[in-house]
Amino acid sequence: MKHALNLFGMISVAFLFYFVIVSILEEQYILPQAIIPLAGVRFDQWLNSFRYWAGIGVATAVSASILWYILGQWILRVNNLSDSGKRGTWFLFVFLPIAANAAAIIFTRQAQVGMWAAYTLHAVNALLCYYISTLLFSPPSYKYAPPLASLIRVGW
Amino acid sequence: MSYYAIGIGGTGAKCIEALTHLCGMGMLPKQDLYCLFVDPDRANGSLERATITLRQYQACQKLKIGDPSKVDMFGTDIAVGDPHVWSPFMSKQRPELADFFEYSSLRAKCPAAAHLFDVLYSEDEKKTSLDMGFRGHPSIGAAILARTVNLGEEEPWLTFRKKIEADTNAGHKVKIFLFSSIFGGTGASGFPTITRLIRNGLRPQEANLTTIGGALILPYFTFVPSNHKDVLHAAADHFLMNTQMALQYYRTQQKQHDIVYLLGESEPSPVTFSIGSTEQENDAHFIEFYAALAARDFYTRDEPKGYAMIARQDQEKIGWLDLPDGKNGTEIKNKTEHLTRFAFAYLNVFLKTLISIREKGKNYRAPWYIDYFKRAKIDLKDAETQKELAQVRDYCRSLLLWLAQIEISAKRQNIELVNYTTFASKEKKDEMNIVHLLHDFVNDEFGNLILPEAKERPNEISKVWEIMCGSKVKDVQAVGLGKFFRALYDACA
Repeated sequence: MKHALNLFGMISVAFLFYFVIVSILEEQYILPQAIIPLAGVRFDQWLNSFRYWAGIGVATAVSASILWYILGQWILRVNNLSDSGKRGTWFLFVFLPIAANAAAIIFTRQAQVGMWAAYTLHAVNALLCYYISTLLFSPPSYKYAPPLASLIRVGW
Repeated sequence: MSYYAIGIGGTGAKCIEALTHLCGMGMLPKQDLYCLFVDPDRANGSLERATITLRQYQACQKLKIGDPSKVDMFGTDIAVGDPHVWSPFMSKQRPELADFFEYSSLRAKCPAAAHLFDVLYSEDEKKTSLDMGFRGHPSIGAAILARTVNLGEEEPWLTFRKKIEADTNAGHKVKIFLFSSIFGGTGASGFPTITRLIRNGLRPQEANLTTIGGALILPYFTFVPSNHKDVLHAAADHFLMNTQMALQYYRTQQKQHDIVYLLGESEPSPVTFSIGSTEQENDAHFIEFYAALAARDFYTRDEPKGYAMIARQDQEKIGWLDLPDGKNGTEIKNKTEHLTRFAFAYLNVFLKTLISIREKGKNYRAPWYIDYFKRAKIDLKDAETQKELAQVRDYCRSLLLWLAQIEISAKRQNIELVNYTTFASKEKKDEMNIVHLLHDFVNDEFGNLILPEAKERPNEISKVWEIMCGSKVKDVQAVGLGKFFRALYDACA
């Protein structure tokens, strides 16, 4: 039950990112201000490309979080002191959202102005989704592996 | 209800050590237990070992691990007499029997009494220094103890007497249990003598509320004396004869005890010979475990009377089913397992982690450290914290060593209680088996500490770690470091 709730929490963070942060905050408030698409490309066409790759980034991030959870909970058991910590392993999983972010940067449609904002948002979406989902819902034995988790995760 | 335990001689002390571990497990009622030792050989190694275990227990007891009604561990409040050991020679140095009874002046003043003295005691007995006990001669011990035990004048008897008085005045029942061997010197002489003196010292209304029981241990070890041919000492080949004489005495004398538990072993285990003092430290033996369970039976029975009797299921084997706990051994098995798991996990995983955090930092490695130490503002570098952690470490080591020694204590039978090879190793030295705790326990066997082994559970200790990382102690009486130990104890259930 506890594990199902944690995994549900991770997926909820991803949904929150995609349907609230990407779909509302970024698409409706930030990107219209920052992006001027290339000639012949409508803004909604460019936005479809951005949304697709943002979705890939968030999905990769939540997949990394879930893999981290499965690894920490059922594979990397703490049977002695040397098994504990695993912050390095947590950092290794960051490469998955980074890879998704790189793909997003390469494949998102180019714009005349404001691509820096799109790149930044892609990076924020993927990395922050991984960080927040693991910050809040890492397996108990490694719950403070994400940096600053011991300051945030109090009481569960 | 108040409980009292008196350990007489080396065997008595070892039984109190076993009783202390039963208290650690939560096998005794959660009442006050007042312990004292009787031994003329105050430097006796077995006595010292039992005293150390008692002190370790008392130190652990001071940790606020929570409401005693909700936690088994360290549930019995043990008080120890001050001084904890009473010797008939508290003030005299290297006493001799002849000096003690002022034999020289006796010859001048009362030749008849001196002649009687000559008849009762040999020249060797008269001249032997008694600072290492009565050397297997109960005839010496009986005379000296009868003359020196005084409940109303000397500590720790004075406090013992006052406590009984206070308990009975409050209408509480009092239960006194004595442990001793029947075959040695101190125990065999002290058991009937001290009981009689206690009985005689009680007022009628106190006597009505007081029950006295005892465990008499029949010969269960043997030794070959070496290099001490010219010195008066206990002789293992006299043990059976001594026992026979003592049993005859108990059969014919007026009964002083409400209940007596007689415990013995058909195949005595070999121990290293010693006259006494610090050298007399024998490893724990399963008979002492039985004796402690006898005390538990006595304390928990409403009206303990008569003679208890138990039998073993298999002559070749001693298992949990054979231990008398009133529940087919399940209670003692479960509680032993619980405390053993706690001791194992604390020593091999949690304490090592705390030491590593203290030396290297990186506290994120142990979420339970953040929850129970950092947030509770308990500093690992603080001297008091280190002392308390060390006290629990010492008790846990004593417990595991004791369990391992019990496991190998039988000469012939196969004891199947604890899988001691997961935390200790056995070494053969001078035909004796000696156990040492391992530096690194076998963590993969944590799920199989109790015999018979269940199916393989290789990641059992990781479950304890996981529970600790997400646990909360709701007991408001668990405070400070006690909260951590309570969480660990609960996680090891």
